[in-house]
Amino acid sequence: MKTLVLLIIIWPLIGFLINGLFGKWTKNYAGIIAASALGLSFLSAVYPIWQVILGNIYDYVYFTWMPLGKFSVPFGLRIDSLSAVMLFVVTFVSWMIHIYSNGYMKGDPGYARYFTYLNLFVFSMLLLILGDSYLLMFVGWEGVGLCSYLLIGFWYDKKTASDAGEKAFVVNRIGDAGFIIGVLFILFNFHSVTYADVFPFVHQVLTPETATIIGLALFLGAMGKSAQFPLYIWLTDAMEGPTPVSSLIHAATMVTAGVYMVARSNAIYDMSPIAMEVVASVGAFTAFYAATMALTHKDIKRILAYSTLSQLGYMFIGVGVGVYWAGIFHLMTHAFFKGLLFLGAGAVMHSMRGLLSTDLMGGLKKKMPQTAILMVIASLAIAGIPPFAGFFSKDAILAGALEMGHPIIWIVGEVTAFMTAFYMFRFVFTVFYGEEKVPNLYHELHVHEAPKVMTIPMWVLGVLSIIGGWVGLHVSGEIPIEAFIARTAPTLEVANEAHYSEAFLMGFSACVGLLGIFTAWVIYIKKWITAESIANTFKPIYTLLANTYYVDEFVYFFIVKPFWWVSEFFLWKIVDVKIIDGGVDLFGWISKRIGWLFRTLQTGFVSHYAYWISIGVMLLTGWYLVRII
Amino acid sequence: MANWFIAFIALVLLFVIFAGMVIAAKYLAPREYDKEKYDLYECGVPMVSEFRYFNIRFYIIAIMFTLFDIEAIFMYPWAVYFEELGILGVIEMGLFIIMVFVGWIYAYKKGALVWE
Amino acid sequence: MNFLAYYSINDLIAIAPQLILTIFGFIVTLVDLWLPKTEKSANAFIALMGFILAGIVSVMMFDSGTTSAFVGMIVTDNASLFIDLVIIIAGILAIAMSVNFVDREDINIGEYYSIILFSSVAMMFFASTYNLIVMFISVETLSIGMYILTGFLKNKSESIEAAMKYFILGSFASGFLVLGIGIMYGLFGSVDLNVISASLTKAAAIYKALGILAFMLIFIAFGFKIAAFPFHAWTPDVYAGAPTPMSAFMSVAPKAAAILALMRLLVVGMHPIQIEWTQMLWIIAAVTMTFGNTVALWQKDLKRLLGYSSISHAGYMLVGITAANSLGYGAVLFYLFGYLFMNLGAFSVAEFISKKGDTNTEIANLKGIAYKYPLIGAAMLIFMFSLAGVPPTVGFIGKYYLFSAAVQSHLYWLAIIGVINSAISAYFYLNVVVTMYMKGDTEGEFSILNSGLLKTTILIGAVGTIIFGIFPSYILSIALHSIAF
Repeated sequence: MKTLVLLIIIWPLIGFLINGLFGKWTKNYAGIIAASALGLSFLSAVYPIWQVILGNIYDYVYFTWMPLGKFSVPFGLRIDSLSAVMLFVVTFVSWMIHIYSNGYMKGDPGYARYFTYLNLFVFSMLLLILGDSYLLMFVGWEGVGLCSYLLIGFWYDKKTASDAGEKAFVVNRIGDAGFIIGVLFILFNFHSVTYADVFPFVHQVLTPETATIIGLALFLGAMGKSAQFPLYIWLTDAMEGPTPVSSLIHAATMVTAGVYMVARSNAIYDMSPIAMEVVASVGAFTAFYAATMALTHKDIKRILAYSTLSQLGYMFIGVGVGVYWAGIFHLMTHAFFKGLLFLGAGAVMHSMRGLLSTDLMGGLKKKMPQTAILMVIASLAIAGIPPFAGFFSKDAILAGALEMGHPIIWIVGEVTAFMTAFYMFRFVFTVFYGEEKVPNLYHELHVHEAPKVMTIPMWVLGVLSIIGGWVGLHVSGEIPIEAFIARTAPTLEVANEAHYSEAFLMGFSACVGLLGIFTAWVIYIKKWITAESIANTFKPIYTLLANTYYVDEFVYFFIVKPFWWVSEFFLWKIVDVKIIDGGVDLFGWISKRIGWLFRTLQTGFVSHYAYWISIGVMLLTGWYLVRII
Repeated sequence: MANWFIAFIALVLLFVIFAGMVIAAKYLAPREYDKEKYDLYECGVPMVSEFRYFNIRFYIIAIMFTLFDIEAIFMYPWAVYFEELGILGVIEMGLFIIMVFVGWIYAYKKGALVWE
Repeated sequence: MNFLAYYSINDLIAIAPQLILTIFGFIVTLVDLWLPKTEKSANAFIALMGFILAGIVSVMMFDSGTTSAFVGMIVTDNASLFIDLVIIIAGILAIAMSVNFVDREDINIGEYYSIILFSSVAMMFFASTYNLIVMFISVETLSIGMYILTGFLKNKSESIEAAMKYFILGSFASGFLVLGIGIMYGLFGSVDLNVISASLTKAAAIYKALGILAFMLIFIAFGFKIAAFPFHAWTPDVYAGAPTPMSAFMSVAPKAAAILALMRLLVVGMHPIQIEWTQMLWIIAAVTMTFGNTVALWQKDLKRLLGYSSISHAGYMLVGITAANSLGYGAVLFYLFGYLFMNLGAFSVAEFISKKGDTNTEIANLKGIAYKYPLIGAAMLIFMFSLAGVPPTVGFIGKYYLFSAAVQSHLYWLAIIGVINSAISAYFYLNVVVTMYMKGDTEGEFSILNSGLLKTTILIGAVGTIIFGIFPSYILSIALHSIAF
């Protein structure tokens, strides 16, 4: 069993090494090698997951990774109910997307390179979720960041792509700084970073204040990785990468790492109501904010990117209000339907030769019937229509928020749900229904249904988008997924838990979703109200939304610019030119005066830098003298 | 009389005597101008110009001289304690001489001792 | 007077690695005299042999206990042997980098190698003593070697200029060192750090204050060697002007020796005034990191960038010393070991893209290199990520230890400044990676130094950076265990 668990993460590593070292020779087989590595990884994971469902927990230590004086950080892998869910999602969805990529990336000059990065990504992601300490999680955390960055900039000859890659990396580093600080605080308080040494002792060791500091620092890391406001700016640009990458990394797996981390640290967050409040509020705000931005965009991948942001916001609401299982449950269903949505968008792009604007599409259903059906399924799932997967998980989150006493978050969530249904069906209706907008475009591009190697993984995810949520149904008095995840991440216990009629909440959510779809139908199919007239009525709002609230501009002028300004005008023009040179001049003048007195002692020219040293000496001794006086 | 007063008197006397000698020399000494007297002095070699470039070999020879001079000086204290230092002293001095010898071979092979 | 009571043959055994290197230095000097001009590479071979032999001996001597030799002037303990090993590996890699380089630059003369050997000996002595006078002599000896090596490119004016600057400033800093030692001796009647420490403990307030001032003067010379703000000014010029293999060597080996000597000075000698020096180092570490990283943002030349980066790394290492706990000291040793691989590797890549005359090391010249030479590109990616502190490289582990040591000593703000700094540094290191991978591969014109040994060096650096990043435990336990004070 110990070997089997290790094998789960070893298979992608082998795939990475084969394709990375022998990429020149494996060329056309690179995809098959990578996909079979993932298949083997998934198969290795099945038995351990089944054992965990039966009630076992595995925590194997393979070797001592870092000794730290009295204690040490082992290299250990842990499979409990929380990581089992993640393990299933990651291995399975990755496998599907690897298969899909075989078709999508066919003929790309960087075929082998692509699969090398992808396998490395899965390896890092598995390390992130299976590692049994914060430090191993951080290693995976940085590893997925690196792969994401390499894959965003995969088409490096596109300037925007390489810029986007750089942006992603730099923004993530800000978050990582928070994560590292959090881990250092944990290390200091617990003298260990292993989960087994931290969570059981949280109540003895931490005070609510320290828990708040750790929680907020860790959440900063989560905000970077999971693209929460205001560190979300990289995710929309990340769409420059190949679409299967957007699907796997920027929708299904990597960006959910932050949610996983918060759920994993539930014991710490439970102690700090403030940190939880921050998590839930940031989540709710991002959910709402991103959904409004998705309303107006015309680039199909960006719509999906904003939708991802919004759904991540839901997950943070879930973990933030303390119903960890709901957050993770939504993470799982989201991986299915959002993965599918991106794959569908990829299929559309594939046949449209990379065109992305909804203005050029319409009536694609006739040309791509399978993709159209799948997209509708996925959209129903994300819109929260029963019995599709998203309904159960989203409802669990919103019901949880209400029960835990956060009615405002519940209202925001429902409004967002309405917008979600609306923009998703706006997307579906404009792309797949209606008439061809540009005559003969499809004919010229030879628009056709995607090949089988792409549609089959999509169908698999499509089926999961329908049935994936059924684990959230009541079975003999309990919800299976709740009971399962709560073994590791128990729901927060609040004193005055509110009770609402579950059937009513469910019905309400479903109605909100249907209302959103209906609105989209009215506007985009029946055209009773045209989108243009709405846009004209709310012109300022529309412009604001279409320009994504001018956030990039804001960041540029208020963060990037001042930083360069400080560097250029303060450090260079003032410190270097004025202070140093001026100081040197002054010093020269003083020494000239002194030299006038002690001419014979002055031997000649002393280099510029010597003044630095002299000033350093004076500062040091002066500082000390001032201190003792 | 306090000690500090004695010291003060001594200092004043010192200053007076010193100043007196300087002033007396200025007025009593005979002074005659002589070209040789005010010329630069250089080991008896006739001067050509005041801004004369020395041959770099002078420096090399001087460095070599210093090197072997130091070697010789170092051997005096060693010789005084020769017996107490015993066999280790011989080894140490042997090592030292070998090092200087290597330096000499180096200088020799590089042509530092060849004048032209 | 019985001198045998004071020293014996064991003293020579205690300095065996230094002796071996000295002997090989002489052999190189002599053999070079009879070597014809076409076969000068034999010098490199002999020097390599010497380093390898010294390396084997120091590994064998490891864990054989602390030996005090020459009436307590030389102390050989695990820490000094660890640093010896760092210096030796740096020497080996630097020589491997040099062989084809000196041929191209037409400076292939034996002195190059013998000076490397002799200055390595001085570095090793610097790292293995508690005696201020021995420290002074060794720091002078190693500096003279470094001055000469900096100016070795006779035909490159930057090189000569850098050597001159380095020399003047180095002498300037040494002046403070001597002054400090003199005051110390005047105050406490000894130059041995153990004795000074004992006297300082029971010294009257005024003596203590004067002792702190003397310590500050001594610190200046150390700060100069490790390039701490504001004594860092020589670093970028020297690293940019010196022959690239020597910049690489200089950025690691003397720094390693100086760091250990500084730790001995602070931890053993200045133990009674720990409160004062931690405060002082706190400020210096924070400013050094910030200075190095912010100025590096503006660099266009890879060697100059690495110069500023080495300033900031000196700052990180000072964080470990400021923490003043054994974890911090061990972390500093470990960081030096890791820094050895990543920094030498990065300089090797700078050398790889250089043209005759040791020019053309601008970052822009890396454009597209990752596609023409994928392995070199991947190696450079590893070095840059390691310098920026991204796992799973050795740079991350090292930084993690340094900062956790700071947290353990409750220096939260220093740790936070450090973490923020490593976030800033990601920007310019990343710029290098972006240039390699994402600025297109059409510009296929590389003038490279095509040397098998150089490529091997790059490979060793990359493998070391990754291996010790993934399996740091062995070296870490050695580093932690080496710290005896």
